Amino acid sequence: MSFKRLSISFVFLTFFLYAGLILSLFYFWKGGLLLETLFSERTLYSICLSLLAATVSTLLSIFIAVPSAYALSRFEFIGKRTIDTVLELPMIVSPAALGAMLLIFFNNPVGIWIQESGIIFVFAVSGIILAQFITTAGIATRLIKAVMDEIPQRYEDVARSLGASPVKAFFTITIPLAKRGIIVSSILTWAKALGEFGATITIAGSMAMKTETLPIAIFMRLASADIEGTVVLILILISMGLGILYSVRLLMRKPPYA
Amino acid sequence: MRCNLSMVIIGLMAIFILSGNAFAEELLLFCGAAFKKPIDEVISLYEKRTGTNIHASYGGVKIILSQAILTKQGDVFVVPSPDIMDTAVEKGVVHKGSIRGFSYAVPAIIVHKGNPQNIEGLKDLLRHDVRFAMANPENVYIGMLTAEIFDRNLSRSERDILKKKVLTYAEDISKLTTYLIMNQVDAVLGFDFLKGWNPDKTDIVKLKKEEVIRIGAGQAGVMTYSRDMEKAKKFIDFLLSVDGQNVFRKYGYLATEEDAFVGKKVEIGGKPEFAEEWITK
Repeated sequence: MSFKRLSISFVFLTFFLYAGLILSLFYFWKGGLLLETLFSERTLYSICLSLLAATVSTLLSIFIAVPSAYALSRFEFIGKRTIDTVLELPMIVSPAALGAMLLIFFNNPVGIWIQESGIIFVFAVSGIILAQFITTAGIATRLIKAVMDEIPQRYEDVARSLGASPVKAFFTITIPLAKRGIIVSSILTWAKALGEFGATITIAGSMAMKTETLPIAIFMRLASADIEGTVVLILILISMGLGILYSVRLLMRKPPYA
Repeated sequence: MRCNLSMVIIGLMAIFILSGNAFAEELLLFCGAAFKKPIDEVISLYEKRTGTNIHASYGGVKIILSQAILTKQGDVFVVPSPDIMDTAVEKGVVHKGSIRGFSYAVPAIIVHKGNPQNIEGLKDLLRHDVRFAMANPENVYIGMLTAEIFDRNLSRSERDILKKKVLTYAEDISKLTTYLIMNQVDAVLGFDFLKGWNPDKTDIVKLKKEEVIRIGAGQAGVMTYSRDMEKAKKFIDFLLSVDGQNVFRKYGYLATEEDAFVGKKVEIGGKPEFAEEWITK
């Protein structure tokens, strides 16, 4: 077997692993339930909430991640290695533990003060966004840093030697070169936020029509021993998530000056 | 190189087979989160005495039922109410003849230690300064009991106010207690045994006898998927033994019907009846 075929076979192995899992859902498929579940007020609310929260938390994560990643990639400063390591916290600590950390934070004087100042996070939609932001900000920074690391600093140096300020070099050289990588990082961040469950349910709870995102709705269906309903919601989440990701990939394939 | 690879494969297969055998010596227990603390200790005692390893999976009653149905695994099923056990029997998860009752639990309001908000009864939960949470009435037994208690004891308008005031529906009784201990709520409606979980952080406010509709009753049964029913039965025997029940008493659970007497005769277990509006469709 050639190396090409061998490597492609691994691609298909991974694909069939996930495809098999999706297909196995149809073992509990109940046709009539799809439309009934999809158009129920509760499911529609969960879908909208999931899309809104994932989008807002992704925008916040990317807003923080781009300058952070640039600093980590270009400059030397005190504590850089420590900060770099701490960014991996969401990957080391389970989402449920992150949620518990947030809950504990809001039980200390600073957290209580924040809540009493009018920004309610616990059992609220803002808690969902916070949970998703905490889960994704570090990962987004890490992903974008990898993109920035690939861009030679020499380009910025040349721009600066021609009179560009550091800010101008950043916006006219680095950002355009990193654009594609930042978009890909945003997509991955969004996907991670959309599927976030552990931290969200811990900090925001699981109230229908209030803080029930689609992953939480799936858990609640399973928690009600409603396997068929669980299957329908999983399929909705998969279709929505993969559909949006695939569309974005298609859009990105278009040549920029076509 | 090829010889080394074969050795590794044989080694891995040996580990796999041995681990499979080791698993056969173990019991898998599905247990409602309401019994987590005492069951953990009962398991530890039982393991020390018999050498049988027991793995326990805890959660809301319906989530553990789903897990059992989907995995078709498990030896012992422990839940806080006979009606959940009836469902498990109907779904072919538990042997009907093996079911035994072992503990009782009375619904009560759980508050912070010393009751700083001075909560004295159900009506106090309507106060603006009281932050309140309950378990999910959709799939957690105490959540269903809570909805039933409110339906029977509050007027329509009071119930509407309270429903709007509920900060969250917790997915199991442990989470409900966590929210209270983390000071995110001032009161929750749980079972009286919760005072035994965190005696230095919580107090209970007993409901008036006329407010209690029914009490929870723990049941354990041998699962139909069990590969060693005798061992599963022996564990249930231990759970009901004096030693097992002493562990439950230590955590504030009530061992007999007399202990759980609330001042009037109430239904033991059974399906809570509450308005459909508690569940969002």
